[in-house]
Amino acid sequence: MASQDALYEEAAGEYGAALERLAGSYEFDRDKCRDLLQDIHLAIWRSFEGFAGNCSLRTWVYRVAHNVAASHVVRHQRAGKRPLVSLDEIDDLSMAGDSGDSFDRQQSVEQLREFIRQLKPMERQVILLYLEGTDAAGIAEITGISAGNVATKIHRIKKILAGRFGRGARHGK
Amino acid sequence: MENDDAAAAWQAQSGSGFRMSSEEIRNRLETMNRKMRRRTFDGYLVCAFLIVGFIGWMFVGMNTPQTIGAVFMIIATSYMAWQIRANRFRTPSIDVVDTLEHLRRELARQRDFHRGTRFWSRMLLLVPGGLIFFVGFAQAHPEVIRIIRFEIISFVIFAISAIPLNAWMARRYQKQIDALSRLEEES
Repeated sequence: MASQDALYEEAAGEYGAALERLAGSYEFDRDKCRDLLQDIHLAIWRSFEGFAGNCSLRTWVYRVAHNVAASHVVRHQRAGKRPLVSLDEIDDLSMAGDSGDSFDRQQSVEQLREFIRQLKPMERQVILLYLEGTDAAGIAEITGISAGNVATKIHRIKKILAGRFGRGARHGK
Repeated sequence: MENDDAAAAWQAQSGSGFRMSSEEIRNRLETMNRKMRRRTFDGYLVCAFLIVGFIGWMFVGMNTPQTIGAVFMIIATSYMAWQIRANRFRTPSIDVVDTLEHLRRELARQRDFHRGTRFWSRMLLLVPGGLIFFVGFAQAHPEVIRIIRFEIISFVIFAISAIPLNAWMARRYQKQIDALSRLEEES
């Protein structure tokens, strides 16, 4: 149990902030977001019972966290919710507050979060990992999709971020 | 905001520094386990109460239909207790890759408890058993026939309403399974 606790401590210290951002991207409601975050932490602690070190701590933590978050989405599906879209479809959507006026960093992060919530789970996972600074190989390992596919998605993400958020940021500067 | 800026802005979001102490984790897990055990225990308690009640009734002298009905009810209630045990919540697998598959299996098991063979086998044992028991009770005590009639009507209403109620529960679980499938398809 000591190693389970030690691993959790290490994971919480290293990835705690990233997990909070992840929870915020999956759940808009503040209280439910807190619950989701707790569930993620519990699942991570529990999962360390079976952690054999065959993959990095980072890979393990993100896999558990994304699985818990995906389960959360299933359990809290809201009626009348708009369908999730792929990165290819996202350009056709209008984004709230995407006027470019009074743009600041906080606002851009809010927009980014809203943008992520519209994405399909796998693409959401890829963009979150990308934003957390994970490289393509790391994303491929965590998500289980091919490196080539990850590279394509990252290319698309970069294009969207530059086109959509770059415009707003430049207005604000 | 350039790509690197986007990542930097994203990572710069101030968190609350949330983390749980090992004591908190153990307490939370214990509370969760206790809730699960409590729910299962409540089910057993109802079954045990009914079984003891019918066995006790058999000793105070009953006519043949009452005895047959009571035996049916004891068998039905024992069967229900076994179903509750078989349907109890299982701790998620520690194999993280299988977490969603585990959730799917759990949901499917919960759904099947409320529909199909498991539901109807329960009903087929409980309803005739209860009705036979009440008929015997009415034969043995014609002086309280009005009360027994009321009990029979209540029992039938309860049995009939169990059908849409269980169907509704099964649909709820099915919706979650469908949502999970959609999620996987979308991935």
